[in-house]
Amino acid sequence: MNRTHQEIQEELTLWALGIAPDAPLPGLAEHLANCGECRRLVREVYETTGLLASAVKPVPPPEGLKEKILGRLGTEGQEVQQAGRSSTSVDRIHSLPREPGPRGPLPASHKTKRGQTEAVRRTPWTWLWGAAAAIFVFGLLWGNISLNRKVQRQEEEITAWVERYEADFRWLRSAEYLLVQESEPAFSALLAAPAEIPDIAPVGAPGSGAPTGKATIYTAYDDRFYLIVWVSGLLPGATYEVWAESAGAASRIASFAVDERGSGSVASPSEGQVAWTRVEVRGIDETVVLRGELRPGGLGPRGW
Amino acid sequence: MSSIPSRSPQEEEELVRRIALRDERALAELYDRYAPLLYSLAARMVGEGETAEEVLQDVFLSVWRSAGSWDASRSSLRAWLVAITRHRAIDALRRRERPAVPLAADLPSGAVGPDEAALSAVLSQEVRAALAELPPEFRQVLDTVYFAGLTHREAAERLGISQGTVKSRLRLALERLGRRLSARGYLR
Repeated sequence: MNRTHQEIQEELTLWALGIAPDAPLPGLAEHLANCGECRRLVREVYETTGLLASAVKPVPPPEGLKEKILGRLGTEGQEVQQAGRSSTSVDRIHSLPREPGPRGPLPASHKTKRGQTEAVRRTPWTWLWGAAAAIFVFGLLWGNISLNRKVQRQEEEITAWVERYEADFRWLRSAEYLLVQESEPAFSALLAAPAEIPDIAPVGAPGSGAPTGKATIYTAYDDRFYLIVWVSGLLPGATYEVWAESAGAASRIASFAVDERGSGSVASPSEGQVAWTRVEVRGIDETVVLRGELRPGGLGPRGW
Repeated sequence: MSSIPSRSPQEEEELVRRIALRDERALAELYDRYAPLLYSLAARMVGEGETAEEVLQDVFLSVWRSAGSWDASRSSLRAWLVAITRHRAIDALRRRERPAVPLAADLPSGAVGPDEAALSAVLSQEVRAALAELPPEFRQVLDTVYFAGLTHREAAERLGISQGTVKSRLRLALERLGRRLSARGYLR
């Protein structure tokens, strides 16, 4: 895909404005990694959009909104906790007072199934216990219904929150994906064909030479990090997988498609640091086509 | 009323760090500082009232939950908060399909109200002046994408121009704005 520098910058502008698709466009990350001008552009557009908000007509926030927001901070946590342990509420229903309450007039008789009236002598305590049992059963049923409704409402609210938070997070990650490359990689590796696979060269596109690649790990926000892998000289149009090894065990991290020039890249954001020691690019038949050992530090002035 | 940071980036970093540690007073400080700007932006995008209030609530609750994800070395706090606000407002617009109000309504002459704080007024005036200097067709594209929350495809349809034209005008408009604001020291 041959795009002019101007076209790439236009795409990057959309990214910084938050209106680009979530998935990175092919080749964009690679270009950005090699182009300081474009990295500056992304940052500048992002910051400019922050300043642009000052152009709007000032409207004071409504009275009481601050208190409403601060009031929701506590409730939010409690709701999540309650939904997580509904048994507490059930326990509360079970511990409803079981005392019969104040004594009242007692009925002198009641009808049997056959319609016969018979005098029944009952002590006041029997009636009171009966009434209490009825109230208890009713309360239990009603409580369960209310509880179910409440739990359902809370679950819906939590789901909605998670969805909205995820949407924000995804968008912010898109911008971050571009910005994260401003920092030095924490770990990096040069990827080369393993010596034990001598016939690796033919997989490369004609004229593109033996496959090579680079892998870098950037520490991102909040204990997240990105593993970014670039490769060239692979089979155009083919799909490959990135595997990373930690404590002797390899796991699949991501997959990517190679473009018509035999190049490809993938950025895999992850939560939490993993002590990865080796990165491999494998074909879909799991044949290792590229491999490299991750080491602290960069590959050059900026790790490229 | 809009506002601009009068504190140092280090102070802002400390404020957000306290929020990440669940300090409600820090969130209240952040509210005092940025709510006027963010509410104005939300009101501009979704209209004043309940929806703008909901947007602002969502923004601050989102900050409460994810304060640790802001990194001062990568973007200013203001840009981060504005990005979240725009995203929330766009969500609200998508749910409601509200027609956009033209930006021209906010740009009478670049003048600002006498009640605005000095710093806020200066920045607001600078940004408005920079916007006013843009060719009308550039401003129109910015208005449609930035303030009305349309994608470049939707903006192209609404304005009757190609997507490519939207993209190139957007880039040039932001480049010019950035250059001017940078020259005046508003961009780090």
